Amino acid sequence: MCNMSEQQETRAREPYLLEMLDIEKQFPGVKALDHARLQLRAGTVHALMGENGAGKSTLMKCLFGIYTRDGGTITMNGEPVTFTSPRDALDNGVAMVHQELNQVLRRNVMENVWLGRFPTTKLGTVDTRKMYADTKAVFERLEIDVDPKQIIGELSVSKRQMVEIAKAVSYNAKILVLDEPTSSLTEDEVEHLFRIMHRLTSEGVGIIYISHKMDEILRISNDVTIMRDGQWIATKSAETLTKEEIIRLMVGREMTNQFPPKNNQIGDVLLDVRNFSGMYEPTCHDVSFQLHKGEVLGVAGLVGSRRTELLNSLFGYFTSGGGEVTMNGKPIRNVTTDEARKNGFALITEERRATGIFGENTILFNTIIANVDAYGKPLLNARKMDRDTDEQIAAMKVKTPSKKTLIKSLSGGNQQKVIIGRWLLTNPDVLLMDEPTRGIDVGAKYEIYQLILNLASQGKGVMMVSSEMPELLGICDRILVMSNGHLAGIVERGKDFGNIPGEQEKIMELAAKYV
Amino acid sequence: MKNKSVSAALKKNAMLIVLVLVYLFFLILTKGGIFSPSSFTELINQNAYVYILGAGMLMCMLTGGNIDLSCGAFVCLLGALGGVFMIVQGMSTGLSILLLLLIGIGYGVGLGFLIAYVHIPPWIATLAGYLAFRGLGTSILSANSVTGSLAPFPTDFQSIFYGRIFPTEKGVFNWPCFLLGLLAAAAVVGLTFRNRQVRLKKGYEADSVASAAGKSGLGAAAILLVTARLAMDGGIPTTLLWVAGIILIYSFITSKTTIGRHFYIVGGNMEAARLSGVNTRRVMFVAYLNMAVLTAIATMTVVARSQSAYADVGKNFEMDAISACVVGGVSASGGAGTVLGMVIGATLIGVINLGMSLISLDANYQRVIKGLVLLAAVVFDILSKKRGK
Amino acid sequence: MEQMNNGKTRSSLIAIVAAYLLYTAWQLFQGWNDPNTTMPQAVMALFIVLFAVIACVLLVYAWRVWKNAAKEEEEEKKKQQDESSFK
Repeated sequence: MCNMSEQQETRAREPYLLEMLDIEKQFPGVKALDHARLQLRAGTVHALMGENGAGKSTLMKCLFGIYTRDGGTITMNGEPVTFTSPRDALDNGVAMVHQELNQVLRRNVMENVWLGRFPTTKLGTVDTRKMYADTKAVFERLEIDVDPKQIIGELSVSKRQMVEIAKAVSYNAKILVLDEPTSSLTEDEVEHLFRIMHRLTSEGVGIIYISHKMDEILRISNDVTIMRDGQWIATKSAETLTKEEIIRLMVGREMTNQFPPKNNQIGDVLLDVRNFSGMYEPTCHDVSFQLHKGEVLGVAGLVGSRRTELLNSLFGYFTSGGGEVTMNGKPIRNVTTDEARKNGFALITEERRATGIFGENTILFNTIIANVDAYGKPLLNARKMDRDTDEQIAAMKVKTPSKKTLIKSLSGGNQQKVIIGRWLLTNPDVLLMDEPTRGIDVGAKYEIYQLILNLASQGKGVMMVSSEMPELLGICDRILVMSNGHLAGIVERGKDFGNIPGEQEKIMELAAKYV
Repeated sequence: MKNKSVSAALKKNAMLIVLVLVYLFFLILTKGGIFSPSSFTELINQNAYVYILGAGMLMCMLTGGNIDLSCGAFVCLLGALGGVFMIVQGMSTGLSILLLLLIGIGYGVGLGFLIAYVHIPPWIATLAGYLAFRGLGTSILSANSVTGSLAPFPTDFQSIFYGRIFPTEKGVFNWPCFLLGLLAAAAVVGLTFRNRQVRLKKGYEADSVASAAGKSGLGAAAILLVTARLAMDGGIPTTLLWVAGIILIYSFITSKTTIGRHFYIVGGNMEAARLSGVNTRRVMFVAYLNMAVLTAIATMTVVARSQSAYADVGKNFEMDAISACVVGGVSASGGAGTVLGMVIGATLIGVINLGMSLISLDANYQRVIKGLVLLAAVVFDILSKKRGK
Repeated sequence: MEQMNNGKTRSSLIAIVAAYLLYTAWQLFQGWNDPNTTMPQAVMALFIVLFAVIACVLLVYAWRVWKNAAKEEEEEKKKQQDESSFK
């Protein structure tokens, strides 16, 4: 956490650099901002948190001149302001790094950085020499290693994000808004960003920092404002705030634990996998493990460890190469996904938007689609499909006005629940889940963890690929650690992890074993 | 990455190579007819409107593949009005030209306002002009003339837009013309090498001496060739000055000025432009205002050449301008394309047009070939996008 | 990797070329009985049909490009709304 220096303590008593009070914003059918509030002191980092749809970005867009607010006041250093366009905001000392990198990919780095304020020669032409020198100066000051002449579309996304940050800093604005600035950055680059932010705040700049990453927020911010449903909920000093309290404020209900209580019982061996490999590179090799009834088996590993390939090959989505799989003692080979389904397998894919949902179809369609055989030939039993869908919606607690709503209009969390509901209709014994809580907000995550544990309690076997260590440690019984396509090791709850010191390091070590 | 610049360079040169090949093709087909001095003059005069309108269309397309469908019909309308001013009313040439320009500006302001500030999609806004203006022009013509066309335009008008600089008799070598050509050729070589030096100093990659010499040498040779032929046909056509002037101005604007860059940027990513404080609406407005003004200028060259205003003038002009841009490699989605590319595209179309008429190719075949050329350009554009992905 | 901006405007342009080809086919058709033309009727028929067919193909392609661009816009919007929760 940021220590309050003497300098910052003095600042705490100064008037606000920016005050946004009672901000109202109405869109057709939805009140996006309802008495929203933010007060920013100079030389501090003020975090803005909330679930999706809480109104964080909307509030900042009202500040930045992208939206016009319907009510409320905005004052900078005591003077009321209303910015009518981004140009207006930029000219008045407010700069913003947007969540989506808005860059002109065909042009080079320096043109993107000085977009809207190209330096000109006396003749009125663009002074490319000065533009290059200025860009180099900014990059050097911020210790960024990018060639200003390079076409920006050729850079990696993380470098592009660093350029975007440098651009905002180069406006020498008094107020800097950063909207999810670390979403594509490596750890080193995040540290780099924090260094830059420290320097800026010591120069008196006020930074508004929007992020979902609680660890970062608690480290870097002085104050935290939490919003929910367009309303201001609370503003607290980061020093005294805990993760649990943040979650409670964001979600609006008491969440004593991040994870539901575990009381699933591990039974007999359900799946016995020996020397299993995929057929086409890149894929997994020579993986051996057992999945028990009632067990939640996590699959951890670095990017590229081929965890998705393992699951997809077990399901028959990818072609398997070698090895044997026995289920309840009987050898099986899921050559096609249809066979896998009939064998009682279910696969919930990593990218629900790409390979999970049928976006243009209704929730009804998306729910019954894996189970179509059960509804009769040649005509489908509509009443049964309706009933099953209603049941799943209730069981999964999907928030939707109707089962005829198009699935693409649901939030990520609700979409995921529909997909899980779809597979539960087929009554599977083995559930293969690939990053089931990715892109889902805190409240929905808890519900999905609960679902997974319930499934385990019913005696099913669940394999869960995840990149989030806390969630693996929170709900799994054992964790397979994959490394570069091979199984590096298996860790057990109670023995290797589960409030045991060094648990994360052990897993990381295994993950790096064959890299 | 090198690959991108190589393939882009190939693409630009590809059109140049195609141009040369097509020219040679017609050289054989016309038994040298297309190489005669009068052919060069004809190419410039007949094709001037494509260059001028192409420059305007380029600016519109840069902003995001937007086009102007009304320019051809507007030429008809302005031509009719010009005829009324100069022939029927007998107004002075200078006043008439001024009025025509003002009307062009007026149309541009109105059109630009509708497109940029009222957010009417450009193809709808200009489609209205396409449908309405020709009818308007035709009715003006029939109201003022028995034959449905107005002629002849005053001679001083014609000499501004369709004559020769320092004219001599045909067949007599026109030295001023050739000297101008020498100057231009020298300028090309000099500028190419100077640019190279500047690039090297800034640390950019630059062509090798050989490649720079080759490119500028070819350019210089082309200029000398053209001016030599023109010299045998009575000197530099006035339209060439207009065309060259406009090409140079727009080259300068697109490559060196802030507003020029803004066109590329608005076409490349309008949201990024807006969020960085670029006045995207103004850019769109200027694009269409500019197009209208250039249309007015093009009208005057066309009408001066045909020495009359008639109902069918301007037919197909918008397609020619769009073709020149598309063939010349202007990206159909905006954000990329150069004046040079448009010039090459326009020249290619001009050569094809001229060649076809020199061999007196049946009108139907001409139409088919024009369609095929456009189709080929579009297919090329689609394929290059696919490969790029 | 060039980002395909403005797929919608690109599809408009392709549609316009398609319209021009149809117009050309129409022009040929109008001159069907013209005695002055050197183009044999068979060839004329060939090109009329060819251009008409290609125009239709282009129109369909343009429509697909349009839909893809619209879909990508929606996906981008949804992607930004999702929380990214990487460790």
